Amino acid sequence: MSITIALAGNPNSGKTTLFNALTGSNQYVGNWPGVTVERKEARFQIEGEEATLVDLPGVYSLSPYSLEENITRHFIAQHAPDVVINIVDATNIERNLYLTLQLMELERPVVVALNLIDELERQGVKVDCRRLSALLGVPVVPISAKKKQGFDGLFAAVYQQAHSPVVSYPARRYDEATRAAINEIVAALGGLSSHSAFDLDEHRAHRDEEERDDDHTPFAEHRHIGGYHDEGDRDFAPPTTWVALKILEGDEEIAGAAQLSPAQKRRIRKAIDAYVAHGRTIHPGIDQLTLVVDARYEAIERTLREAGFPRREEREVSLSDRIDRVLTHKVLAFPIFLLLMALMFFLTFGSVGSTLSGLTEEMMALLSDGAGAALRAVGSPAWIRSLIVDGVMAGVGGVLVFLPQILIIFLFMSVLEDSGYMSRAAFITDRLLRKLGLSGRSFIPMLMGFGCTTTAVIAARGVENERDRKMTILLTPFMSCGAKLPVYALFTAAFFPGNRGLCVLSLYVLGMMMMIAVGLLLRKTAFRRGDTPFVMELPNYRMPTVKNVSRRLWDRAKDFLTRAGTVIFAMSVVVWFLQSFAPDFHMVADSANSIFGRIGAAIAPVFRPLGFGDWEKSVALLSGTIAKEAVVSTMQVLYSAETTQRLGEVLATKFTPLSAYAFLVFTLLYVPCVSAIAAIRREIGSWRLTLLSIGLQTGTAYIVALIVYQVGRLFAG
Amino acid sequence: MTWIAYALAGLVLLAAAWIAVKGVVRFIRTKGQSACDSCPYANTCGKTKGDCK
Repeated sequence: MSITIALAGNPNSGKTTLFNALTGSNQYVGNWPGVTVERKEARFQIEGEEATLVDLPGVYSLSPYSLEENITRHFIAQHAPDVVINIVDATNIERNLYLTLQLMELERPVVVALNLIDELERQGVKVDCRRLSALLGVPVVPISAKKKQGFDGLFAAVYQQAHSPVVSYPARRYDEATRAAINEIVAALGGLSSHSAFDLDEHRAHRDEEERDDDHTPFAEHRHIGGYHDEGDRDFAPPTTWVALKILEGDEEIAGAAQLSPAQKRRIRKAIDAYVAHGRTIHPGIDQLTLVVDARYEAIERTLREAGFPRREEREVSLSDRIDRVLTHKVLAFPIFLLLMALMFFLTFGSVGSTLSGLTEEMMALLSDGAGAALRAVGSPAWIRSLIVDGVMAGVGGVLVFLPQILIIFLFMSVLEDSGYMSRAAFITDRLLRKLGLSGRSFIPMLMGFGCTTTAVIAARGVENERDRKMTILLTPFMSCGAKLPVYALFTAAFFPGNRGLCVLSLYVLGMMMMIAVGLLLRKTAFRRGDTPFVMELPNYRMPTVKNVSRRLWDRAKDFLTRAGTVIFAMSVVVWFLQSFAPDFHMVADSANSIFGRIGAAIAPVFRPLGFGDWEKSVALLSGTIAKEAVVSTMQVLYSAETTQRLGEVLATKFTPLSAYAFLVFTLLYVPCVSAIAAIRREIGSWRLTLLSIGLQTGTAYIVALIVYQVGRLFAG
Repeated sequence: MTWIAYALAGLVLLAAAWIAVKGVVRFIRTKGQSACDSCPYANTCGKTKGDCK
């Protein structure tokens, strides 16, 4: 027999760390809420028995309001795992236990893994796990996922729960009014003896004749909570008490699935009205959902008090709280954030990054010279030397040169992320955006846009509101993605050698400002609506581990080399071919007469008012739609520059500093790569909006670059 | 010895054509998701490449 174990917990509670530690997997771990978006599975042995561990997305509750909550709730309710390991962040136990209670309400065998117990003890809190376990009615095991401590106890508890399951009924600890309301609804549903409010036979009948009767919800919908239908779903009916609680909360999906008769509805309505009326005698204006939420928190507070936990505010002020007093300070937070960004860019594009890139370039130049000499030695025709040296070596080498700088920026970002600062960055910027009337929830995918637009667009799935989600997808490409870094590095080195960091910082800030401006415009036109409340967790600061950071850097270096060896390599050969041959496929001496030359000449006039109306620059931008680094490799091939330094010298004759900056602004803002466009189409589900996105990006890029160049010319005389 | 240069050129052109055709076919088949296969920037967002699939 194989044991199925679900791993559930709040975002950033250490689930993925525990998952990796238990299964030996290599899943990405970040000190950042929302690392796990989809469920992941791995097999391992527990007490000599085969087990499947399923890592579920981090959720704060089991309400079906977001994709993550839906996935988690669906898996626990429908797949009915043998055991649920609920990982609880001991330093934030009050909020984490809210999910614990909801998991226990589903009457599945739960084991609470109390993580970060060492950090709590450092705050001077002694934890009596036995007492807590007795009060909750489920095993509570202290662990440290990071240090791999407490796993023996965890395995023993999981094994025990898998073979002799003990379920707890947390509703027995809720206040009297809530218990009375639950009992009344349970009675209206037919009592506990019916096992469930969901009649499986009834459902099976519907399954056979799915959608035969318009008066009934199709079988799949009321059996599969959350609208999912997965392989592995069991005919598991949710417990009646849980159904009653959900109805008491006002969960319409569950109420609809229970197929209540008019008499049942009346009786339940009466019970809910009495419950709310009683609640309003204490808290005027309170609603049924808030009353149930309050009941859970009151039970948590009482449980922790009885277990001897001091209240959060009574505990010693943690180091994280002390750091946050400065880093999230009302006035200081944003300047500190900008300062850190500036430091990152100064290190990347300043002397450290450029020295390392210079060394790589020297190596590339040696290779290129060697290849040219070897080809000459074997009597190679000129076109083959051109293909290998000016095409492949220049194109791929021109991008590879920037590997050290890319790694420095990723090292910096990994450290910020692992330390917990990235969540603060999201929090700080969210605060600013909300003041401008933009949705806070959207900011996380937007921040991801600093890495890759494609993944950021996909991550927008987490935004619950349809309009907010679409707006997030439209705005995300304004954030400067990592693939544009080689373009910035090349141009800043050639035109702004003394202010490289500042120049790149200005581009990132410009991208954010344009996102805000376009967001406000959309808010006032196509996407008019009120603010969406957004709750964000700030994880404790943690020391980044060398292992985690170096593993991620290694992964990125590997991926970067793969990208250079595949996409950029193929692009370089294609660009070389298009700039070496005329439309009738004979080789040309002057590339202006080539296929690329003709295409570039046709579109170049459009860019003339922006200060870069040559065909080479136009086609470089065109090839940037395949992959942004291709802007660099294309220029390298088109200008026949063997090295990046040589390319910089050529560019200095083709651009002025002003037109170079306008070119950078256009590169920052224009249409994202084809992969991102495909993701936008897929996620937004409409060609009209996808075309709007392309038009919005390119139009904004054109207008802003035009303003930069033309206004700049006025000042430059 | 010139044949070495021709062989190398042939290899480069074939490899580039193979990568380009395979990339385009996979791109169309996966509706663009194949681009995440070797994206060095994706991890910065806190997602694994598996999340793109």
